[in-house]
Amino acid sequence: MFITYTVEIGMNVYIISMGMSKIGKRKESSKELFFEALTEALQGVDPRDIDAVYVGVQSETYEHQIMYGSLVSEYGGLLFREAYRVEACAASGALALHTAYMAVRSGVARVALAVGVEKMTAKGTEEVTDALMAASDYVLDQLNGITIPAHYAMLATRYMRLYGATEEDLCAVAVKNHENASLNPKAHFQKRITLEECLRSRPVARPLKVMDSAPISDGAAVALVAGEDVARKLTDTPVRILASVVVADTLSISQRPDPLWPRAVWEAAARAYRQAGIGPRDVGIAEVHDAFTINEVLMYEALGFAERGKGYLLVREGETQRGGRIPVNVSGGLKARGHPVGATGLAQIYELYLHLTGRAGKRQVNARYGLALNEGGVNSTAVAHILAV
Amino acid sequence: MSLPIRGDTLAASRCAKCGAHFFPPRHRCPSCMADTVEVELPREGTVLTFSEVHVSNGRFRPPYVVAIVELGPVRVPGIVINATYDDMEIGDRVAVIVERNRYLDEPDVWYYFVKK
Repeated sequence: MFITYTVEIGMNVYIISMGMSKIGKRKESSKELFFEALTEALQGVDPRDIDAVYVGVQSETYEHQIMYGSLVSEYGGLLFREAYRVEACAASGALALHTAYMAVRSGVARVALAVGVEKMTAKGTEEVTDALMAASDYVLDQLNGITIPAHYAMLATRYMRLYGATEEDLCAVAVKNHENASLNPKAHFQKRITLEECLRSRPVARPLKVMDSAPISDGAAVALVAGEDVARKLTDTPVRILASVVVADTLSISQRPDPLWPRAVWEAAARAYRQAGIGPRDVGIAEVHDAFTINEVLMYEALGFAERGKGYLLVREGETQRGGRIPVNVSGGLKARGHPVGATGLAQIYELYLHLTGRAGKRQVNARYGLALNEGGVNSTAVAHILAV
Repeated sequence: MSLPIRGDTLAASRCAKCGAHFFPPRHRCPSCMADTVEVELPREGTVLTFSEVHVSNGRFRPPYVVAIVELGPVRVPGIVINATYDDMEIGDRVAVIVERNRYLDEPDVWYYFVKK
């Protein structure tokens, strides 16, 4: 038997407050980075109101640490609540928000704290590459030395040949995101880059180069989530979570009928649009998972911002820059805001939160709806959120 | 762990009921829950896409070329041992070889692709 059914349950869910650490190469440990983000989020909120904590962390390798639920509860003065870690590689942060959303919507928690954190820079590039490779299929990918960058590179190789995009088109994504990050004081990089610098940068996995790739970063971000009644009491600027969707695809891109179609991203976005009652044209600002430049382009297509095979033209035509039709990665994206893996999903949400509440300073984009697409592996777990004021 | 090497060739599974193929082999089809039968894969395939790895995890020695190869009914990722990125193109034919593992202690034998 194959059953299809829908359930209508629960209350409207809001983000009532957020915080994010400065992202970059930091000397602090992950619990200290978490506390930096929490301190910002607790302005005006009493920590005693928090009754659940969900923590997105990618790997135990970096700090030789598991049990992040207890760890951050202890360091944050939040013991004796429901607290645990969730993980879907680089989608862990948005997964923590999804868990908080479910907890509030179901009545398990009145105020839930979603945490994303990663402390990576104490390890070398090879060790980080190895820890991230655990997100791919062991036999198909790991035993063949197919790193995560190599997966995205294989997508880029095929995309460029099928659709006529060039290495310049991919580097243009990095140039745009660095330009955005130059206005973001919390970004890993505040410096602009030129197309030539990107094209000249060393190869990571051809055709992708260092400047097509997100950096290895440290950082943390948190969100406080509550139902409508509590949200109205605790803040004047609640941001509603209109949709929160998680979808899984294969670990290895080799097992997808069409590797260039990130189906989990498309499925997550389609369900999120349906939940929110909006379409791609209504999105006023988006944060998408540009772990590598090619993926921002693939996401334009899977999110319905561009037709298949035409995503790279949005960058050529300036449609996704600030002031364009649909500004994407105004924070600087993973590429330039930085990519502390477990924190990234909530860093994306933090950026939307700033814009929707009018606090984004020089890079402010006025929008009613914001979309965040966070993914883990190689679009293997996609998490879509749509926020609104 | 189910490994795909059988002598000097690679194996996949075919569902006895729906005909779906699985690589590496598995005993049962997750759609039908029916038993599978093992099938030998062709010794030559076609490149779907490829890259050349320059930064790796300390166990593989870059640079090396990786590819996803259409090998009969399945897609198989692997290392191409005799080509650089600039030599490669989508649609290239490659042969499968099985030999002593070039990079890892385990498994002691592994498969590689040779561009024709």
